[in-house]
Amino acid sequence: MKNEREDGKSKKPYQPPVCETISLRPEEAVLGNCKSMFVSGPSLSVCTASTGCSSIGS
Amino acid sequence: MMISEQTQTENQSQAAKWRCCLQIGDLTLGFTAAEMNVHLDPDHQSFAIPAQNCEIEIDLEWVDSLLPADSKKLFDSGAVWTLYEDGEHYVFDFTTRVLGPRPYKRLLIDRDFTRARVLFVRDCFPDKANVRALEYPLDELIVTNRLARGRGVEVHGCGITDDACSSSLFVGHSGAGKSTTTRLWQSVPGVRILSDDRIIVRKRDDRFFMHGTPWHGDAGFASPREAPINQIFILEHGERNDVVAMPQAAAAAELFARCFLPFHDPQALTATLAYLDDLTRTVACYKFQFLPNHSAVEKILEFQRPR
Repeated sequence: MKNEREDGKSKKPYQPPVCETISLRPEEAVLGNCKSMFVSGPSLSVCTASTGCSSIGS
Repeated sequence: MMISEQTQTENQSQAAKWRCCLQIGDLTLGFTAAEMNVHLDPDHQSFAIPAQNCEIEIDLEWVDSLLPADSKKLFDSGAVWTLYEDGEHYVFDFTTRVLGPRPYKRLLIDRDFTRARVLFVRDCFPDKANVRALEYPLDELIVTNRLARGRGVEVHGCGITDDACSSSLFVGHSGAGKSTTTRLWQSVPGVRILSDDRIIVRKRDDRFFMHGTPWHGDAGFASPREAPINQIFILEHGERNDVVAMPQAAAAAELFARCFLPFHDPQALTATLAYLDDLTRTVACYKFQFLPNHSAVEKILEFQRPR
């Protein structure tokens, strides 16, 4: 197979598609989990999370 | 500034309305409340704009009670909100363990995310003179869903721009070093920080811009300003400072993992993938492994210097 185009410029060699796996972090990708400066619920001053609190926002 | 403008209706006997308009990521949001004293968080005040007709209009209302939604459940956030589908509307019910299974607040919004009502259960808000209408994450949910129709995307990142017009978007998961990066750049003369946690990316006139948001991180930076994006860095802690160009597809995938997306909506996910494809074809993306000290700033400044 030639990599030369009619206009004389070289063509990029073909690269087959590559499957890459990325990790999603649901606790970060979904809005509504704890954010350090916000509280959830009306006028609540204490965290109501059922799991241990970890502030989102690095 | 129209933080809590009291506007009288034509009929003076009617109750005064509270009206507030915000501009976030080039979207305008108008909030109107009758018979409700609404408190605007300080983080939102710099995003207030003069009263006007807005792209997204939201009415805030009291109700006596709300029953749990009985329509089709689309998504459970695992946190304070659950999404249901009800005819032409989406229904976001907000609950908290403290108040039991009944919603204390409900967002009813059309499928374009432009017209909404928020219903507050009166008895759940003892401090009626100080209702936090934009309590996290209500406004952010509306904005991210509106953007996800191919209009833009919100990413987990910090935006840094300087007088030399070089603007960088640093993207990273929690713990990747966004707040650290922000604090390191804070002391550099001429630098402005748009956000230390959440950036909205939008395209205008064939250029991508990053916008600050009210939803800041630990470092507390929340600017209503915008800047063109010159380059994007995916943050990682490293043994040394190193900038490595990323293949376009890998960059799009890594950005996708750091976006806030409506996972209930396949069309929105498809539109966002196309948007990220466009973004990563237009703006160069790099992996930035860095040390948490000022040498990281020097590395980026050296990288940006014309060769």
